[in-house]
Amino acid sequence: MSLITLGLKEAATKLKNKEISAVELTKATLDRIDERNGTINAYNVVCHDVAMKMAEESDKRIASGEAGLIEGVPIGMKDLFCTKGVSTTASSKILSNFVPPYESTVSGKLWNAGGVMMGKTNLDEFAMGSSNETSFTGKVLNPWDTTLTPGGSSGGSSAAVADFMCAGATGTDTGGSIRQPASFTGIVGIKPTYGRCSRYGIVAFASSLDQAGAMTRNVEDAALMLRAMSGHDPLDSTSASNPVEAWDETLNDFDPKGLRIGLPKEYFIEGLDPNIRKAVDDAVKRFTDAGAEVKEISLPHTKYAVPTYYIIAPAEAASNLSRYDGMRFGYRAEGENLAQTYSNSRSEGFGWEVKRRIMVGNYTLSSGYYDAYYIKAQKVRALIAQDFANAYKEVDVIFTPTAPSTAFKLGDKISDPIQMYLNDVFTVATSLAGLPGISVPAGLVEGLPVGLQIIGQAFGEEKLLQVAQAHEKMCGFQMRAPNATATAA
Amino acid sequence: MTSVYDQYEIVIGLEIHAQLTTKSKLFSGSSTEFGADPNTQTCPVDLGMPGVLPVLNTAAVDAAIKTGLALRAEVNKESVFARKNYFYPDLPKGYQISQFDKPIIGKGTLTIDLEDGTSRDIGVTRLHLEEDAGKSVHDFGADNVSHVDLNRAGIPLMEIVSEPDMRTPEEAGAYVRKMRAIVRFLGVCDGNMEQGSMRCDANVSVRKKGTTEFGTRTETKNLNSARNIQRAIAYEAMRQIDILEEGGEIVQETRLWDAQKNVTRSMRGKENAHDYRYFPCPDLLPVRFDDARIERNKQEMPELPDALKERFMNDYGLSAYDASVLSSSRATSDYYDAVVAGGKRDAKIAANWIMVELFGALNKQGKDIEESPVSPENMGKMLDLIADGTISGKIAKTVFEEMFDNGKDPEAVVEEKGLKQISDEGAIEKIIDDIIAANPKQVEQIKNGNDKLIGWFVGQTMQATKGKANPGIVNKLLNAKLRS
Amino acid sequence: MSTVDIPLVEKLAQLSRLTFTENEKETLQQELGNILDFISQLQEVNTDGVQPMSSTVGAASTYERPDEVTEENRREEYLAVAPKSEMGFYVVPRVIE
Repeated sequence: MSLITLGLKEAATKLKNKEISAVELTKATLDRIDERNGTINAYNVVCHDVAMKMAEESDKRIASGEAGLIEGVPIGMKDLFCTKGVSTTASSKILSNFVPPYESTVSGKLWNAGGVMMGKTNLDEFAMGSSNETSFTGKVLNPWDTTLTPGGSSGGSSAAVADFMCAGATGTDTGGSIRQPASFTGIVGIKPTYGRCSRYGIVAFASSLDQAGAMTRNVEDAALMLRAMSGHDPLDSTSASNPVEAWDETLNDFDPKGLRIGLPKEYFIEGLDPNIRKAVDDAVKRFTDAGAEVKEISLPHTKYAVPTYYIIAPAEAASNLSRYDGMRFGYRAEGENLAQTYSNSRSEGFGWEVKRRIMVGNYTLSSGYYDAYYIKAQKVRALIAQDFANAYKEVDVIFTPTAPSTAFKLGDKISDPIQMYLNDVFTVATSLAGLPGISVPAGLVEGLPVGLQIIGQAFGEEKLLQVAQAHEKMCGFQMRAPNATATAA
Repeated sequence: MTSVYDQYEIVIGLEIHAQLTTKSKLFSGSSTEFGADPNTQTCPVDLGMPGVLPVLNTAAVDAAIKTGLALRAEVNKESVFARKNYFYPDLPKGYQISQFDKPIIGKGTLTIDLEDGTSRDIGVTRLHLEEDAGKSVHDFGADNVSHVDLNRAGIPLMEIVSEPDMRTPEEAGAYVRKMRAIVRFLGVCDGNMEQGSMRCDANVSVRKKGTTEFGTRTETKNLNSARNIQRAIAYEAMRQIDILEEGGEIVQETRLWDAQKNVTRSMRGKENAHDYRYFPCPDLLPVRFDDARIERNKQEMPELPDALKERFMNDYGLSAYDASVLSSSRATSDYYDAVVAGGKRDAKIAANWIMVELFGALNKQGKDIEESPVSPENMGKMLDLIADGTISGKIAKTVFEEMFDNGKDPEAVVEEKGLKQISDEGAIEKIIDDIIAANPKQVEQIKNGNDKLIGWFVGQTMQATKGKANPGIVNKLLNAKLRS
Repeated sequence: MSTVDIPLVEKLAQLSRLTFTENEKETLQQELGNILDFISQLQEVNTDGVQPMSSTVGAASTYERPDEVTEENRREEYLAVAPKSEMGFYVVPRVIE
């Protein structure tokens, strides 16, 4: 039996039944990381000592019958979640020396549920990117083909899960940063409804869009992990008080018969890779064969989702990143006076993509442009949300491709920001509307995984996960084996 | 002779920042206690650390609602927190969470009381909630560094903006005093201007009398007392008039009041027009509440200065000025109410004793009425002693001094010092007769029509009795004996 | 459509507390121009009568916490992550009034 291929739920069950110990599972996973991370660069920090200590604690709790929901399971923590006493960098030079004196709510919940922290996973700097190439700690490689991107911004998490360097990893999704990397690496990634998971302690990118979620190798694991992460938090005013359900236990209480699936015509436009279209069509066909209904719907403002996103997200980011000024924490580059110290610290501390977005954000917020850009974008955002509300009068879930392509080559889009931004075309509308979305593997195109995005209704995670589970069962996607050879970089 | 200054009218608007008396900060659970060691009352939220989030203090919202009600203002059942973006070392997040286009309180009115007894209504534009910044200390350590203390960062403030309705420095002073009285009555701010828990900026412009257009205004900061506000405005108005009279133009700018030199001076560093890039804070949702919450706050409010003033005028017959002075703080009005004891004592005499003798004595020692060594009970007893003729008004001043210095009961003072008034006509007559006999010359002059000398005999009699003779009886007897 | 000139790049850099070399400014002029053109697409959307949406949490009111002191003095822990501190203060380059 290979320990590292165990899924979250599977491992949790075996641990609880004392078939395996948390210490041996953790050791095996750390060995895997030590073997693979040099190539893939999925982790910014590997927490050997912390992980072993946590595993020992887990074994004690298991022995005394106090096992938590994911007791003893190896978890990768995106390096955007503040972890008390453990380096948290957001893959940025400006936080390269930062060790938080506090713990994010979501990571705290996972540790309370018994999760064992393997380390902090790489990401695009401040989660700004779609290819994990803007990281201060270097790009992450896709385990399926190391010349390709693992997606972004949660590229370290997607690669770590896909390459068996943890059973599940946290991600954050602002415009697709969980779903797109999940699609590119053949794993499951769920971004829940905005407000499901507390944002407290997650280094902020765009506050009205940021949402934590789970990245795993199957739907059941995603359901279990999300359950452990979710819930109202008095430390986050935007967190929702909706009750958290045992999603992993109700996954199979579902029959596709009668399910109304919406296919937004604006997502299936000319120019969409026919192979990707086919993967979605095949998934839909399996559902209709099982008795589901399909309906073409219209989300007329889809075209404007990306430009809307690229106004709102940089504006919030420009403001959120003002706190990185070299005064109270983080990197400081001393200048001759205050003004110079500010700009030296920030100019040396931030990478190019981050600086560019700060500049754009300060443009759209500045007087004279605010109404034309920021307020306009908020109005279009309202129209985009209304499009979904209208659609959900007729359908239960919406199926779309997760991304317009399979994983693209590292270096391909990094020099053209607009091309990079357009890679988010299928995921940003969901974020703008605050809706839950999940990417599940839907097959291979030329040997590379393709993701199906299923979009649910607000706080409709239960149904969303049930549909995803039904798809997974019918699709029969095969995760690549740990020893499968990837194209060399 | 009219001065050139008389040809101008001053237009004044005030912005008041009032620190709320909440136990914890506006968006975090840090303590707000004054005077703690630097940075001991901070948490990751106050420090603007990565990923931490603001959570609104419910007591701050209630404080704003109450103040809004006291200002007879619109209470907005939906308001929005916005970020005001700028860099400063005492502003940890690089933005201040404030309110911009949707403040919690809209238009209202503040009635100010002037020394001549008249009142004026001054418009209040808005009131909003925001977080305070920290403090930079420049006075120690090397020349090229500052030291930042973030204990104050995040303390809740109400910013109250007036309309440009005031026309004299005295009106501005009255506005600040009244606002201070109201927030103190409500208990939402301690109103301590020296400690900075209430701060004021003045927008001042001048224009020729009779014109209606506003002149270019300046904003003067750092005004830490009602007195300084009046002086700064007077100085600033004269400075502007001088410039205009010399054919110059007023520069719209921020100025600082220098209380040592009694001048305002330009804050050059701040001349660049700020672009604060306000936008709704995405970490907070709109503040929404219903009428029931407004009603609850209304129920919790005490009797306010305007209502007290009216009661003092109607029930006790006080002048408008006296009534406004005695209603200027909760402690004063409570003291006065206790002395008058529901009309049991003469309300006007009581007002006079409190405003002249008590305030005078307190002022000399820099004490507040809360610290008065003379309790309202003792003050009342003393007034009773005057009323029943036990002591004269003049002796009462000696009794009061003793009470103030030693906190004694007035009856004890009268007893100890033998200050009881002599009202025995026979005894007084005997003394008077002795004085008349000893001063035949003066008696002669009175008989020749010099009535004024009767006063001299009164004085002699009081001297002989050490001031204890009942002045009414002395007058009566002397008149009877000397005016034949 | 949107014109970005060097003075605008410099103004935004000042607002952002960032400094750029002349070459970088030119690159930014180009990139920001493209991005602004791209986001200016929104101008063609009819948004008459539409309320701006700043949060997807809809009609909810912001959570209000009770007025209680829940934090204790942890100054040393917080100052430990500061670039420079002494005597309990954060030390910063001199703030000029």
